[in-house]
Amino acid sequence: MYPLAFAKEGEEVIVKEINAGYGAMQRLTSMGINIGSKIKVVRNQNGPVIVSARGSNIAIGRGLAMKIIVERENNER
Amino acid sequence: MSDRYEIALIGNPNVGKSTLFNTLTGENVYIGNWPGVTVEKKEGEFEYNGKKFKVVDLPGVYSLTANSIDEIVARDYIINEKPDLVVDIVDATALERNLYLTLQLMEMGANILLALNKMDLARTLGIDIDVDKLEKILGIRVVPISAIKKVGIEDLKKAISEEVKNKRKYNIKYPHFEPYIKKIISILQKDENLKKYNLRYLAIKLLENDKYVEDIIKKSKIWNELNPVLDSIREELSKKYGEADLGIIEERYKVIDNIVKEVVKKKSGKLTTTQMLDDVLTDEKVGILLLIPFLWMLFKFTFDVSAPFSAMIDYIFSLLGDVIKSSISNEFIASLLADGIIRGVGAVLVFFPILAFLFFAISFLEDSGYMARIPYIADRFMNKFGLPGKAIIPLVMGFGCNVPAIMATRTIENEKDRILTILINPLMSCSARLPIYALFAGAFFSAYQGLVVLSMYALGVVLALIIAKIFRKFIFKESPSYLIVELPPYQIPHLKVVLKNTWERVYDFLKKAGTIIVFGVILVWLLSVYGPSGYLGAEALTNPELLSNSWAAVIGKALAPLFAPMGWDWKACSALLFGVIAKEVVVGSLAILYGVGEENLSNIIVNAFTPVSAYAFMAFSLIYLPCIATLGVIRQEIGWKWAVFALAYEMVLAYIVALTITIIGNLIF
Ligand SMILES: Nc1nc2c(ncn2[C@@H]2O[C@H](COP(=O)(O)OP(=O)(O)OP(=O)(O)O)[C@@H](O)[C@H]2O)c(=O)[nH]1
Ligand SMILES: [Mg+2]
Repeated sequence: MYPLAFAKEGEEVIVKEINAGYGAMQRLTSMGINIGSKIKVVRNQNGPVIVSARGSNIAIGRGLAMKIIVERENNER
Repeated sequence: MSDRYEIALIGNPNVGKSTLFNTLTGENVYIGNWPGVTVEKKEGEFEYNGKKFKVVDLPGVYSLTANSIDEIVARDYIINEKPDLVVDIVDATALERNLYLTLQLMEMGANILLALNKMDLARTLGIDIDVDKLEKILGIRVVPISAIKKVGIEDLKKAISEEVKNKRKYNIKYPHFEPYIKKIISILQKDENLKKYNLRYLAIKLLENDKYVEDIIKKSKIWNELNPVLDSIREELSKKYGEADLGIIEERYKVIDNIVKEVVKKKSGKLTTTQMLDDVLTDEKVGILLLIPFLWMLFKFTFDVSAPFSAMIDYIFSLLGDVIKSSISNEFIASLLADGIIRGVGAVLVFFPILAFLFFAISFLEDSGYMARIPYIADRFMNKFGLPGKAIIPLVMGFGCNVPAIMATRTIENEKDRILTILINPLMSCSARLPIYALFAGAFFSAYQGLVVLSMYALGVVLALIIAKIFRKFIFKESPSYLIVELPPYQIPHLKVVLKNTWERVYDFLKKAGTIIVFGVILVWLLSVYGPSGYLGAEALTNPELLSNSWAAVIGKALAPLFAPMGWDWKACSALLFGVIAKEVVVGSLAILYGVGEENLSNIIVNAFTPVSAYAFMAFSLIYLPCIATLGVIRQEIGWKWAVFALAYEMVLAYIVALTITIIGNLIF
């Protein structure tokens, strides 16, 4: 498990924890990024991270991406 | 009278609400603000089968958890106004995410109809949706449409007219939560005062730790009974889901996943244009390299194309003024009309072409999908100065004109972020300040003219970033909110949508900021033609002797000692006062005050200023005040309090900077 900010481009990950405040968390979940959802990292350079979740692309500020803990998909059974 | 119904349009951002709103209501649109907040409120009407429908366009929201003004507005409207029907517009190409809001609406017990929009796009993308099945599972009416192609609109109107009367009973069950919900409802039932709410909604919201609902229940007499029950349920949920409020969210998505599995069939997609474009446009290095020319084009397009139109309007109004002066014999009335009112209206209307072209360009970029990427590209840099990524667009636009730039901050959701971005915007040197720089740079620094002018722009940017950092630290305290933004697919902009958006924004400015500008100009006129001795006559505006007896001169003279350290005379101070109307007026006023034409002005000021005092004057002109129009728009957007604050801090800052330049300059030279 590691922060989303450390995931590689093209990687598919499962969201395990969101350690952000109530507001940011509600916003993420309402946009389709909740615990357990599978997201694909589209872009991860030095700025915000772009992920594809439930069919739409969402840019997430780097600070927030550090607070989203994910796990590589194929680690699951 | 025939039947009248009120319906509301709601949906995620970018699903096509406004497009549908316009298609439904045609031209009968009323734009206002929601009471107490600056979020736009649009209302319109349409008729179907002799029935009248009032349509309210709610702000685009992803959920109703009330984290932003938009969400609060939408939630309060549905709970308090209880519209006859809520039309939930859903993007057929992103059903999975859109249904989250739908479920929340169903929890509220609203009377809902689902409009499945962008069916045309869904088809091209190979997404197949079983409408009948969706209808059956949700228990609400579903109408497939394409708002932009005007397909299915008649069906929708028909469905609306049927559903307004037909309050459906639907039921979405959250299997793992039903026991808890039941338990809570059984307690809530005991309070008669809560009957006006949907109890199921209250129960679910309590499980989600919703502050607003919790506050309602805390006032109820059943709170003492409910509290321990709620605590034990929450504890149970925390064990299962990590945190209690995450449970219900997970549950909603489980329900959605099941629905989507049943009704959506997707053929495997190919690499879309969006993916290809994003490979280039959102690349860390290439993206920034491409952003600069894009912004430059936006800027150039707006100001170059609008310039002749603005000049034309300016010319027409001065012509109109002349005609009035020569045709009305009463000199006072003629001057009030020509120099006050007409000039004021002219000062508003010269903005019209600038705003029209700027908003056209912005609406175009927005509709293309590129606009959403710009904050993404700029986020890291802007964060360093305590600004959100979205602040980049208003700041760049400020180089042209601060008025539309400030209006463009509306895309920033967080109120503090937005206020900060607005406050520093006037420091971006707008095009109206250029004539002042040109005059002084030409007179004093002819060898380095370009460089000196450029240094003013640089000074503005540097000050804006420093002030942003300071205000963030001492006034707004928390760090800028995280960027969370959806990047919609790219598309070829629809001209109709672009034009409509442009017009709405321009109209909004003319209506709201317009009045304050007209009054400002009239005020300055009064200060010029009246003095302590009474009415001076309209010639005061052209006669330096007379003008030196006016209130404007009195104020200038009163201010002069304050600016004595910089070495400016009272005429310079009065000119600055006139610059409040619009900064380009400073040059014209200097010409009047020194009693020369603008052509000969530079010869005169060479004697009135030194190079150092001239440079300080340029810097002061850059910073000292937002012009009346900017002030008007700041007030419109964030209220009087902040407008006054902007005015005050800029005065202080301008004084400090000018004084510093004077001191350092005199040490060196
Ligand atoms: N292909 C397709 N595009 C559509 C349709 N309806 C709207 N659009 C496009 O979707 C985009 C968003 O439309 P808007 O009407 O501005 O959406 P909105 O829901 O009002 O968006 P916000 O005000 O940002 O919440 C625009 O670019 C429209 O041209 C449709 O039926 N088909
Ligand atoms: Mg809209």
